[in-house]
Amino acid sequence: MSSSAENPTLTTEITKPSTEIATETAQSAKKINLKTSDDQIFEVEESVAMEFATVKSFFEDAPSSTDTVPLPNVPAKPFSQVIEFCKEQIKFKANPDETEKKKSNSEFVKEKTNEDLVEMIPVANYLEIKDLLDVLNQAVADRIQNRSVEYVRSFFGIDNDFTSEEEALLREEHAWAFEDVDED
Amino acid sequence: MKSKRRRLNNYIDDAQGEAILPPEMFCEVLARLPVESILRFRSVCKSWCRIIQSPYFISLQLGVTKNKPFRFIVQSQCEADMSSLFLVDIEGLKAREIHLEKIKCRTRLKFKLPALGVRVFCDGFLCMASEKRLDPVCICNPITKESVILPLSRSKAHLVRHKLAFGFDQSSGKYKVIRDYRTSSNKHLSKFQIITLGESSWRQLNPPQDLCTSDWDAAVFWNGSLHWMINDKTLDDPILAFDLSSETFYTIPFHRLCISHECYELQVLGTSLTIVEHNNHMIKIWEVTGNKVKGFSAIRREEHDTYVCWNKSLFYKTISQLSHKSFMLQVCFKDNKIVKKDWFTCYAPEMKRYFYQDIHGLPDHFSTVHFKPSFVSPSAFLSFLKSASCVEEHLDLVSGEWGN
Repeated sequence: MSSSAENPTLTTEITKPSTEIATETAQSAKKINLKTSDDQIFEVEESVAMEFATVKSFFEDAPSSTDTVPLPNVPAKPFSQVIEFCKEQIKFKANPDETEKKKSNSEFVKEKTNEDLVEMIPVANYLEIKDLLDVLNQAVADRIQNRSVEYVRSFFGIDNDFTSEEEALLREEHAWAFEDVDED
Repeated sequence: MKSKRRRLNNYIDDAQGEAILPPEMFCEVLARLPVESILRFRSVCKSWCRIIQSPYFISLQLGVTKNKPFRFIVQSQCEADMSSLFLVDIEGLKAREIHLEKIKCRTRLKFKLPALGVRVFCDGFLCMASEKRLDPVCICNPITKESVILPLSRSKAHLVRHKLAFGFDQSSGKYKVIRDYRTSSNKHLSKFQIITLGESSWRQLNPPQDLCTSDWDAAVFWNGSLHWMINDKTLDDPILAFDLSSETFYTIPFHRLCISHECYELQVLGTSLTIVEHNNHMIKIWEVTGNKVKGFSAIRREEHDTYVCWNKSLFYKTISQLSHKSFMLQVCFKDNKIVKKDWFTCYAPEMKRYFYQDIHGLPDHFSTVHFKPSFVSPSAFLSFLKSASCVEEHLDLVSGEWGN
């Protein structure tokens, strides 16, 4: 892994008044403030924020805006992980290396819990980060592929609304699909 | 994105509003799974079950499956044992048995699917027919267990040969079936017919004479055209192609003399059309490159020592190329010309090794076809089904004639 991943302070959650932020950011690369659904403000480098198609189009509509961009569908916890992913991705933009990129992507998902992955999907979807969506969808698919129906229900937090008769009927229809499932 | 969600919401139960992921996200994850997992996860909850049946999911999964490597469907060659298909899971070394008698057919008739042999596949459909009769030709999706019968010919002719070719016409978005048959009264000349799924009758086709008078092993669908390798030693250019969009024939220049041995086959390996030549100790692969506008050519791509001396009792057929480094072979062992056993083996030329694939549950002697499992319904292509009742009437008429 690269050195920046060991430096978590790059993602700073700012709770100071916005005037102070403006003076600070003037000295370094341009920063953008993004406000999550749970009212946390993230100060993100412009290059990272432009990875979010939703944020990018916000600035295309209002180029001179210095306001904090509200992200009403995005909670802070998955958002900080999405930022972590995009920071890594930017490095490969300047220096495309597919093998390294794949390695970095698989390491990113490897250390995430099931809950982390499931929570990040709607965020990546809302922010329209296609690369991340691909990585997440595949990671979730890999984790549930050989698993039982019961495992998948708890993975996504879904209640079973079938009657036992209905469920037995579905099972019987494709009995071969229920063979050789991994132990939960 | 918004319109997609609106469309999907029709399939989502309001009671399921608690789910963490938005509904279209289930689709994106589910579409990447193997077909076994998708079928299993219909049981997760009612909304998942409905999503899997939604037109949006079906077309999404079709797009994903088209870009995945082929899977294989195996059918026993023993007539008493043809009532099941086996979906082979190479990685998991499993064979999933699909019972043909459970496949629904949209007719009033008791339709005995097992009586028909599997002939050809295109994407997730298989096309089945009797060897001895023109009717019926059936298109079925073994995953959704739906099938339709193509318009009948109402011919009672006894056939000495009945071969099918099946492909997809990208320009019209429709599937087409071509059949080649010879009747006992005219044993040496084939007649050709074509039908587009959705048409109400077969149309006569006039292929070049070579195709009508010679034999061919199996038609190969590649790049919008069907391809035949004609078994006729006098022909200089034995590969004939048929463009499914313009419905015209053309030849691919590949000189027969390039092949020094008699054992060869036309094959799609990876994404390329290839001619695989094998003799007792070598495997040679030629790749067809080019297109209809610029012209085609065949170049020698690779050549490997097989390290095993193959012969008439122990021989193989190339099934697929697993990576640049290995091939899946179907090996056949014959004793006194009676087939004793078929099995899969993986051949890695660089390692000079064969890896026996111990797939539990396969029949002793089988045929293999490529397959891309999908949830597309064959009846979705049959616009003429509004007159389905008339098809049923025809079936009643010929029902007495169906036994093989």
